[in-house]
Amino acid sequence: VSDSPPHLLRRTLNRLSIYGDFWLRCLALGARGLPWYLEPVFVALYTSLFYLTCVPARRAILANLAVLFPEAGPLERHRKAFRVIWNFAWSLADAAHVRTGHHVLDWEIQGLEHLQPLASDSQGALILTAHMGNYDLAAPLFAARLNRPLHMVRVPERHAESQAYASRNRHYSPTAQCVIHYNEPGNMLAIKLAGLLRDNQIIAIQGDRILFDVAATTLAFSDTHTWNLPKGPFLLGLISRCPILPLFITRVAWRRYRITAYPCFEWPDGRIDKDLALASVAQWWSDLLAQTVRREWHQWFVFEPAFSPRIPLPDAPLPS
Amino acid sequence: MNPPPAPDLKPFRTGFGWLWQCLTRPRPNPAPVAAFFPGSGRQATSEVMIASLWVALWSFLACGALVVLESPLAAWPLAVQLLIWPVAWFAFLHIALFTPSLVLLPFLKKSRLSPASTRSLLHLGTLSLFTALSLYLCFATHPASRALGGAWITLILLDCALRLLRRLMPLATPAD
Repeated sequence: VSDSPPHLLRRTLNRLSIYGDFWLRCLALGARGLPWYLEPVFVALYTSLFYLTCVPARRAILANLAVLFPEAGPLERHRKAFRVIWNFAWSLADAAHVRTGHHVLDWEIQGLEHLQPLASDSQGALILTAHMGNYDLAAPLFAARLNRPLHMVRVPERHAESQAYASRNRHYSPTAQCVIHYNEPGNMLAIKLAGLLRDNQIIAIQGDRILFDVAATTLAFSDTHTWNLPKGPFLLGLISRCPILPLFITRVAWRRYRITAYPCFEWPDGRIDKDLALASVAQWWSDLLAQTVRREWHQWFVFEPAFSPRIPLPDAPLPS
Repeated sequence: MNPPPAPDLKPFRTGFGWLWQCLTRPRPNPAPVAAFFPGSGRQATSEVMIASLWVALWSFLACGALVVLESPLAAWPLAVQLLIWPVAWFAFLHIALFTPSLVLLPFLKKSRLSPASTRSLLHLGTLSLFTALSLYLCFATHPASRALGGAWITLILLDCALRLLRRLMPLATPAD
């Protein structure tokens, strides 16, 4: 495509849009030069700006919060939605610091006993997590603590320039034990991941958000709503029969994050009914995720409508 | 992962940060925390929020004084001035942040300073711009503007005195 003026203008506007690389570059420059005492001021300013301008994301958060807090009024829901964006802004700012080479984050681990087997066993494992806290930054720490390579799966950025910029900067990992795989259409990632699990590697994957053409499974969230969760992680686990470790990362204070690990999902020995096993692992994850999302709603960074109203089953045939 | 902490040769918290540290005791880790890996950002959340609130409030009022009391805009309708005020504040914060980065960074990169020293110099550049604004206000005509300028200068001088005092004191603990 030639760089004709309209095309050039569109490209420039794209770069300035919310998914463009302009904001990523500003964030990096800010992380390099912003004094700590000014950081909350800038985070507050830009959180307000994006809260006002990113209408689809704001509406999606409000819709999700309406399901989580059906009794909350519109003002309360807006306050909560602002808090989600505020926490997201902090996560991005902290990530920018780490990528600039500042070791400014404190990490704490809860449920260390569930992580220990991963360090001692040579078996492959699947770490299942959600869009919370700083997933990108926890992975290298995690790989270093386990002293084993960790393969992290993530969705590419929506714009090519942003993806090029982000992948250049994301590969900052002092241990070189953390490998990032991008889930792009047609790259046969599932086969690659199955191979890695067969080779007893550890894979970290997010299991709470449906983006692009990811296969989904629909599960009950509450009496009134259902949600779609990605099917891929469960299929991977079933094929490899490796343990699935649920893990959540949350921001607990100024530049302080907590990694919370829960007991693993273990597959039953012997021959299993695949459909039944898939349903059982999906239900186990859905319950755990729902419990975490209800507790840590302010750090659940899902900017698309996550829930659908449940279609009631007819109790009795309609009168003719 | 956070690298192993280097031996402390100088106090981490100085100035008002040190004073705040003395006044507030660090809270122990909550019971369920099984492991903890500290980074080098050791300011308490309360200290960050108080400092940031002060800087935000002062800069907002200083920009207001500049727009409403001390500039040719003072002759304009109040509604226009009140509209320009937050815009001026927003612009000032960005000028204070990005000017040192854009002006100093090319030279700092050539001088091969450590990332920590580069960062400190950039922060000093930002602080200098805030202090330049306060000095301008110190010599302004309106008493409120002079009070605002004086407040910043007084706090900067107090911070310097506290830093000097802390440097003269021996380190109490390796983590201090």
